[in-house]
Amino acid sequence: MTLLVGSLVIGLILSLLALGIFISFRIFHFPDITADGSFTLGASVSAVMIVNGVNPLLATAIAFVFGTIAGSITGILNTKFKINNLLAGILVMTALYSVNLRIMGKSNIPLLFDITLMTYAESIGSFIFGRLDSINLFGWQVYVSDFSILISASILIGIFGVILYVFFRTNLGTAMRATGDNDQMIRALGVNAEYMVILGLALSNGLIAISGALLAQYQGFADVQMGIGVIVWGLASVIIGEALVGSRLVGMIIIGAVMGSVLFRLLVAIALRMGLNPNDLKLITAAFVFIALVLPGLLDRLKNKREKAANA
Amino acid sequence: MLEIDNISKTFNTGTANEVRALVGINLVVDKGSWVSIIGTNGSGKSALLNSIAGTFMVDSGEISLAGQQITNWPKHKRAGLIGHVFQNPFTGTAPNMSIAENLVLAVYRGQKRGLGWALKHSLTNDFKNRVRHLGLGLEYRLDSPVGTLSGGQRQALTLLMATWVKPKLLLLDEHTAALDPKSATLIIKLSEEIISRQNLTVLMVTHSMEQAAKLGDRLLMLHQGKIIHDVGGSEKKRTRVNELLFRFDELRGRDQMDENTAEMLRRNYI
Ligand SMILES: Nc1ncnc2c1ncn2[C@@H]1O[C@H](COP(=O)(O)OP(=O)(O)O)[C@@H](O)[C@H]1O
Ligand SMILES: [Mg+2]
Repeated sequence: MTLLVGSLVIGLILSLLALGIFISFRIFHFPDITADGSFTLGASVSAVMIVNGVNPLLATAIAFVFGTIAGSITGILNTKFKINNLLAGILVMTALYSVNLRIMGKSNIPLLFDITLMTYAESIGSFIFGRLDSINLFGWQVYVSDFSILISASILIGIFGVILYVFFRTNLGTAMRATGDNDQMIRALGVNAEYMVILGLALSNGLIAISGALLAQYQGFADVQMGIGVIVWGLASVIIGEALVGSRLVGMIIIGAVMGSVLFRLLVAIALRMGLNPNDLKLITAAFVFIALVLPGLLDRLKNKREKAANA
Repeated sequence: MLEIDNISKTFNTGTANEVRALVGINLVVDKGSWVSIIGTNGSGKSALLNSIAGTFMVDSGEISLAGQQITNWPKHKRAGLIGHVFQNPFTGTAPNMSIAENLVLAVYRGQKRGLGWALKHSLTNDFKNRVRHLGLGLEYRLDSPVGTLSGGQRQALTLLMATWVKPKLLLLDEHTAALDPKSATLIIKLSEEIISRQNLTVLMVTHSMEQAAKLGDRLLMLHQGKIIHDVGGSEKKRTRVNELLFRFDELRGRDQMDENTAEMLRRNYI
């Protein structure tokens, strides 16, 4: 049971990563590898502050700010200095590896005995359920601490989802979506498309940094390696989410990204339970994303061929 | 209204692909004037419009519009003054967004986009009314993605968007060339309606001799980046323009138009 709750919580936390990837990859068609660095950046910034006694909420908010800075730099490299989008991300990601080591001072910071957002969630739980150690949930025994973290994470992600939804339906958010959809048009309508890309990448990496900060607090440590390959996790979640909701409406896509992230984590947990070697996880995720990316095109071509054959 | 003072633009300078797209263009367009522009392929028609819209910066010369020196303004800033409709119906609209969302982007053309709710109720009523005027039934499909519309419908929408806020200058770049004849006729009719209702100043590039002869009060002919012909609107002149157009059509068909024939044309017909 703890395992299930655990993967649900991680899925929720990583849904912010998925939303960030959704912004860069789906809205702007920008394969932004900065994600790998800004995920760790969020973790390292918040971890260092938390061990130094900073309020974890504030620490997480500052992680967001650092993430936005990382994203803006990638955006500026791409738009102002005309560096190819992949390369711009690679440069910032690479630089962030050193930055993260500098921030942490070492490659790993444990957070087991510090006050984190998880501590907050647990104390809310014990406030509600009193001294109960575990509760009965549809016939399952669940630890109160696990349960309260799960509920808090759901609420937090819900809030983020609503904020993002509202943002994307404002004039600014609408212009941002249009920039990804047709940047020639949006320029002709008086929007500075470069500014939109920078702002979008800032938002994307800010969310990803929060995701990293929350994961560090949940798992109880920040590690300089923890961001490697997260862009592919995010992509996998976005793709699964799109398949689940099958809609291009903003609200549905946001819901889809969260669902996709949770489902992806559950699949991972099941695969590991069935004996998958954890070291193979990234290989399998990459293969999955590859298939998910090429499959729709392949199916289309197959369909076209059949139609042609039928018409002939 | 629009004053173009000796602008030039060369692409790929110093390479084998060097193209002198605009060569010392001078042009003054009065307020409320509708200028049709014709010329062979590659003669610089789009380049002229794009230089005004700020798609690229000119190498030399000055452009002023509505009393402002816009020569060094970036494109998005100029867009506050200019409505631009392109040849390709896909260029002017965002396919994955709804008709209403596309319109709302046009409502704030040239303004800062803030954190206000985009699809305000008061706006959607406005959308319905003005979209109904297009006569395409799109007012019932405001929530459909624009990608589901036909080319003609998209171009009608682009035209509406380019003029939602009255532009100081409307640029039409072969905006019916990619459409079937029926849609082209419709778009021309809509253009005429909107232009006369708002009394717009227009530069219209056209591939159609009929449009060039019929529409507008002035006709420019471009060749190799220069204005080789410029007639104003009196009836008399128009007949001669028709002859010229006929001749031009012929020449264009045989692709014989070079500097000398243009010079000859000018001497013979003006
Ligand atoms: N962005 C560009 N880069 C290089 N060459 C260009 C560019 N835009 C236009 N040209 C060249 O400038 C010349 C004029 O083009 P254009 O104005 O598009 O012709 P048209 O009169 O058919 O609209 C052509 O030779 C074209 O190849
Ligand atoms: Mg052209």
